[in-house]
Amino acid sequence: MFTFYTEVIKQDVVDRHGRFLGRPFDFTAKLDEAYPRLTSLIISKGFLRKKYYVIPWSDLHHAGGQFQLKVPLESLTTVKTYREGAEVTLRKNILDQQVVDTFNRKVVRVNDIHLLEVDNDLRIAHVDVGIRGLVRRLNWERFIDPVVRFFHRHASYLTAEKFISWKYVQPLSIQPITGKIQLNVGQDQLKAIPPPDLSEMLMELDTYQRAALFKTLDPQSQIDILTELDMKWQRDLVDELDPRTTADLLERMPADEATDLLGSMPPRESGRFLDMLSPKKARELTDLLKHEVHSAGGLMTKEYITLKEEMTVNDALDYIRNTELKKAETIHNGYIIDEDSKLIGMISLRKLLLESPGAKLSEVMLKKPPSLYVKAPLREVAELMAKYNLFAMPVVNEERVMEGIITIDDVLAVIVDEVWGGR
Amino acid sequence: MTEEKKTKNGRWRNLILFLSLLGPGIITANVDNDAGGIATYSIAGAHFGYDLLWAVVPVVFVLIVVQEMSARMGAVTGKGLADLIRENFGAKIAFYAMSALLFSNIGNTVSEFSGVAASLEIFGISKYISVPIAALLVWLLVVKGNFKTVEKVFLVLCLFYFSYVVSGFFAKPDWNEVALRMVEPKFRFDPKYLYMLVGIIGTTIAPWQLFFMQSSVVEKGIGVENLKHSRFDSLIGCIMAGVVIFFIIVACAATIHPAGIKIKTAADAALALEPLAGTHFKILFSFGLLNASLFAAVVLPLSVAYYVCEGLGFEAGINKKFSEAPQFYTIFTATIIIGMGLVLIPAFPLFKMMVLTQVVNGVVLPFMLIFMVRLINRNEIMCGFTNGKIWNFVSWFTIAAVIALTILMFGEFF
Repeated sequence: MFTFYTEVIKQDVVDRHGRFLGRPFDFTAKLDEAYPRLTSLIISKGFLRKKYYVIPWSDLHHAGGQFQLKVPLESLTTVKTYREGAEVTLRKNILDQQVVDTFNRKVVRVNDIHLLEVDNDLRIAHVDVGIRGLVRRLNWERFIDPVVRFFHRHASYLTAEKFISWKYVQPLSIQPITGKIQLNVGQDQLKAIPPPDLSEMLMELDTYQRAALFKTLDPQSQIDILTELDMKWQRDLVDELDPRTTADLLERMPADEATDLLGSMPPRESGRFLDMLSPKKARELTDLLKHEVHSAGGLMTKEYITLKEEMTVNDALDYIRNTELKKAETIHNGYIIDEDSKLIGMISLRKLLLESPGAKLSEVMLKKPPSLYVKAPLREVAELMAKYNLFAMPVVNEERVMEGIITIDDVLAVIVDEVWGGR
Repeated sequence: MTEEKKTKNGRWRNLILFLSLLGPGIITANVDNDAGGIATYSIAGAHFGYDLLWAVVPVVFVLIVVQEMSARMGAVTGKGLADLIRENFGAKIAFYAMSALLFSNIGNTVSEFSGVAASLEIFGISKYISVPIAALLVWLLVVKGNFKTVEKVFLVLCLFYFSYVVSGFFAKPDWNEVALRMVEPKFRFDPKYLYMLVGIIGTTIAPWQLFFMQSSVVEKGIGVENLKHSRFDSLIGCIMAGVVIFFIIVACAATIHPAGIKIKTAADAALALEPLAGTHFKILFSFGLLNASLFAAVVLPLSVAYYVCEGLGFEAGINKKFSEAPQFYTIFTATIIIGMGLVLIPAFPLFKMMVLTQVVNGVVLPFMLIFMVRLINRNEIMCGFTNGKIWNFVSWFTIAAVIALTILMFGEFF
């Protein structure tokens, strides 16, 4: 049988002899099951300096629309605060709070809680986020429901309840002890949300919830989300992490994004992070940091596929498969360089797949591919990429030594920001 | 040499940081000098001369205290006031608070649009042309503009308030007397004088202002670490607002008061000024009124739509489609249409409406302030940034003053 929080708090709490003690003020629940069981009932005493009786569920008998104590009231003690470490309270942590609806991928506010009554237990089944839940909270159901019914018997207001099953609800209450959000049981739903959606949802939360929810994610999701966000919000999130974690993220992030993040920090701070990175990554990022933010050098990444002209098509494919793919962000093109690392050719992955396996790269590659000078400004970068219809373009220095590649998504992000402004 | 360079760099960094955080406090404090506020200050100057000039000091002080609390709550919690009310006082209280806020803001929007109408009628433009254009302008700016550009437009609009400062100088007041009245207030126990005094304090803080200030701070992403800068921004805004109030009172006291003309609105003041001080005076005054009214008309409908949806858990945001956020768009558009429509009804008792709005503001404000003071004193929300004794005293004093004003107003109205 289902009931609502709003209904349950109107019921009487009586002692063993049926004497009225009060009405429920709050309930606690333990989130260790798919549909969490309520673990205790709280009655408040006093007005200005409230004291609370915490009644464990095992001492309660819930029947006939009332809660009856199984033990004498005298055996209970009053406390000033009642929230236990591993539990949440319905009133403070769920009702009226924002929660993540992992099914519809939205941040919503809880209007009421739908409870399932099984034997003597109450379990959280759904949260109500609809207007009708709000009306019920206001105690207006008695007036509004008949009015709506009178005008429209099957109005969506009456039939389509806006319930979210608890298994799709991620509460955002932060545990005071650990400072973390307690993940809902079986909560793999968060991972299923695409990073762009998740980062949009993060923006709807307050600073603390944002950081706490972010911390619960695995490093790869964290990176995916960070790279979606504006620099200002990236900095805000990173500030909440401990330096070691930040360094790990920087290590695994695409080089161009990591450079942007480091570049936005004061020199002392970015220096400290560079010291914590692996020597190879640190050298790479230091190189990239030297370039102007909105020049080809500032936009480029160091992760790309280099090939030699004496390789055959088959060699090249093997090479890409075995070594390079793991770190390169883009594999649309392979770049052919000579022994001085000078750019001499380019070949698309498509072409590699279509050419005969034995052909030498020097025969099939595009010679003198279009390239960008490392100091080229954003506008030139965009114009050239548009002109040659390329997803990625190589960046070279004065001696045509290959420095990196620019991918279209990085250019697009900057242009969108310039044209339409930040969010 | 390097040391010097370093501190210089540090100073620059600080200045740039401050400029980037500049905005919420200055904008909020200035929008607060809207059509209703300007009317009150003009009447104070016209009817009581320099006698009420000293009130600018406590007014600015109260403004500083209230705005600082808003900034602090925004920075510490990262949430808007509507969110906090909903989460801590429950759905019932939040619903009634939001309804009251909505009602008072619709009233305020009416008075802003009538400010637009009145100021442009002085220039001979019919309200049937000016008001629909103003409403459309408001709609476009909100729907097409983004936060950054809108904020820049707002900061520029703040500068136009200085037209009142200029007119204050044009009025050629007796500066000796002005100085004397500032240091030696002429306090009277005349009910009309007290009524005006409380009126000035009351109009300076509007219910929506508390919400707007806090949300702007949150929206800008100002955290506890930047609270110092945000406080400074708010301080500058309050002082700017105080300067503008000061010069409005001075201008009216120097010209209208000696002539003994009784005025009822800000537009009355502009018209009364023409024969006394010249045409440029009238232009400055009506331009100031137009600027203030338009400015507030942009802020009010949008902000109230946001807070109501935030508090009640509806989707909100101008980047959403109508079908995604129907309540938001309905509230926003209805507020503009009602505001515009009432002004355009011929023979609509606008002045009565303005007084009624002040009364509603007065009824709503103490509740909002009480919510705010109670929230800001909860350590579990403010994490060590709760109010000090002086701040609490000023807040409760303001609450008491506003309640007194409202009771007086009720007497006047009925």
